[in-house]
Amino acid sequence: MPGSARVYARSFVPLRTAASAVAVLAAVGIAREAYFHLVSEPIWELRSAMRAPRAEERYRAVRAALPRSGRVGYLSDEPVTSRPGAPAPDEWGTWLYQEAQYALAPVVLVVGDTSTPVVLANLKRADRLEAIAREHRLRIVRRFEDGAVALLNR
Amino acid sequence: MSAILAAAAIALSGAAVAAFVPVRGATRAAFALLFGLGIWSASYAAVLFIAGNTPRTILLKDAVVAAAGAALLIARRGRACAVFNDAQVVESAPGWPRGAAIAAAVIATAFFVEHTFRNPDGGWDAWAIWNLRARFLARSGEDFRAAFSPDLLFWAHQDYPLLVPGIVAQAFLLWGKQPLWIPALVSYALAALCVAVLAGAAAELRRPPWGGLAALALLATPCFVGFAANQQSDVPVAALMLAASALTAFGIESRQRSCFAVAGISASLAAWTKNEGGVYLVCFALGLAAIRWAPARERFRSLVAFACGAAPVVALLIYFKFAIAHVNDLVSEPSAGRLFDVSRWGELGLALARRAIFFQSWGVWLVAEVVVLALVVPRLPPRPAARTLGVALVLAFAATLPIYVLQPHPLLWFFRASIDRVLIQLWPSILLATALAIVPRGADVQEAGGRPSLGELTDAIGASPSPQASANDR
Repeated sequence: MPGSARVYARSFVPLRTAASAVAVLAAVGIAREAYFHLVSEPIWELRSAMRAPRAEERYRAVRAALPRSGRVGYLSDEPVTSRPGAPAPDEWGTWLYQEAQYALAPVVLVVGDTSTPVVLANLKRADRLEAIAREHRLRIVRRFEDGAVALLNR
Repeated sequence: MSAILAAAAIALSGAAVAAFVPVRGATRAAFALLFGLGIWSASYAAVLFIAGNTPRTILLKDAVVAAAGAALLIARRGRACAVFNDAQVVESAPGWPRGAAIAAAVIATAFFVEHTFRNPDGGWDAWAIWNLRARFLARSGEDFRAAFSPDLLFWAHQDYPLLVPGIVAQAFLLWGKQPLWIPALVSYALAALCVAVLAGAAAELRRPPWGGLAALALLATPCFVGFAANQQSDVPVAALMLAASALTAFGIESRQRSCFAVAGISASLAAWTKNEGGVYLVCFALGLAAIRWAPARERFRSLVAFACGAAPVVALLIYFKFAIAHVNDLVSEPSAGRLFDVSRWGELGLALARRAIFFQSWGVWLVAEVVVLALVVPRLPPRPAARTLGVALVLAFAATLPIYVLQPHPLLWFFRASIDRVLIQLWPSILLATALAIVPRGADVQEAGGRPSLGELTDAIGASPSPQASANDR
C-alpha cells in the first residue's frame, strides 16, 4: 500500500540470515522435543507403558450390564468439580467421573442423582461401597473391580 | 459403498473449494483435503440437526456433497484460477531448508507415534471432550442429543463445536467400531495438513526456501507435536486459521476476490472447530477492514466476499449455539468485578511474560518472535498482507485476554492449562505473517545483503500505483 514516505535502509531479511537463525532455533526445539519423547517419557519403558491396562478397562464389564442409553445416576466417594469456580480439593473424583463417562457413552451419568432405575457407584476405595449405599438408602445389585465399581438401586 | 461416497464427498467438495485457491500441485491438494474434511464434518452436523442421525441420511448427505462438488468443478472447468506464483524462477537459493523440513517431519512423526502408543486415548481434553463427543455421536443413533445433555458435567463442554468429533464420528460409523487409531489418524492428518499448507503457502507467497523454513519452524516448535498427538482440536483450528491467513495474503497480493471468499470458508470452519475460532473469524474480518491495503471500495467488496464465504458455516454455528449447545463454562458466572480487578490483570501480565520464556513448550521460538517483531520488522518497509495478518492476529490474541480475567476458574490454573493451546492455534499463522513481513514478494530478492531493490524503494515511497500488480492479476 503506498503512503509512507519513509525510505528504509533495509528492505528485507536475507534468506541466509533467516535460515541460519531458524536452523539454530530448530535445533534447540527438536532437542527439547527429543528430551521429552525419549527421556521425560522414557523410551525404554514404552513397551511396558503400552502393556499397562487402560483406564477404560475398569468399565468394560459394567458397560455390558448397563442400559444401552439413557440417564444413569452416579455416586462416588471422591468429590467431583461440578461447577466452574468451585474446584474439588483434587482431581480424583472428576477424573473418575470423566473416565466412566468416556467409557460408558452414550449413557449419560448424572452426578448425585439416585432416582434413576440404576445408579453407578464409582469409588476410589472399594471399602467405602457399603457406606455410600447406606448413606443413599440404595442396595448393591452387582459389584465390579472388587467393589470399586458397582450398580445400585432402590 | 458408504466409504466410497464419503471419500468422494471429501475429495470433490475440497477440490471444488480449492479450485479458487491460486496455487498448484501438492499445495492445492493440501488445501483441498483440509477443506474437504471440514466440509464433510460441517455437512454431517447440518444433516444431524435437520434430519437426524441415521445411516441413510448420512449416506444421502455424502452423495449430495459429492455431487455439489463435482457440479462446481465442472462449472469451473476451463476457468482455472490464476496461479499466484507462476514465475519460472531459477533458484540460486540453498535447498537445505526443504531437506531439513522433511527430516524434521520424519522425526515429528516418530514422536507422534511414540506419544500415541503411550497415550492411545489422547490427552485429557481429547478423551474427556472431543473423542467422548465422537463416541456419543457414533453410538447413540437417533438419540444423538444425549451428547449435549445438560446432565453431563460441564467438563464435557457440550457447547464446543463439532468439526473434529464430526470427522471422527463419521469415521467410526464407516468402520463399524470405535478403534483408538481413528482419532489418532485424524489428528495426525490434520497436523500434517497444517505443515503442508504452511510450507506450500510460504513457498508460493515468497519463494520455495521460505516454505521449507516455515515448515521447519513449526515442526521444531516443541508443543506442536505434543498437541497433535494429544488429539485435541487446537492444531486443527491452527490449520484452518492458517489456511484463512494464507488465502487472505493471496487475496491481498493478487487482488483475486475469490481468495477472500475461501478465506471466509476456512475461518468459519475454524469457528466450527473451537469457540476461539469464532473470535478469530471476527478479528480477521476486522483486520481486513482496518488495514488500508487497497482502496476502500475494494476492501469492502473483499470483506463482503469473506462474509459470504463464512456465512453457511456461521449459520450452522449460530443454530448450534442457540438450539443445541448449553452455556459455556467460561461465561456461566460472568462478573464485572473480575474484569475490573487490576490484580487479576497484573497476575495475567506476569504469567504471559513468564510464558514467553517457557522453554518446555516453546523452546526459544516465542522469544525469537518477540525479538523479530520488536527489532527487525519495524526497520523494514510495511507489507500490506503482513500488516493485515499481523493486526488480525494481534486482535485475536488480545481478544482472548479478557476471557482469562472474566472466567470463573482459578486464573493461574486456567492460564497454565490453556495458554499454550491458544498460542499454538495462532502460531502457524504467526510464522506465515512473519515470513511475509520480512521478505517481499517476488523472486528478484536474492542475497544482496538486504538492500532495497528499485521496486522496493518505489513501494516504500508510495510511487507505485499498485505495488502488487503483476501478471497474476488476470
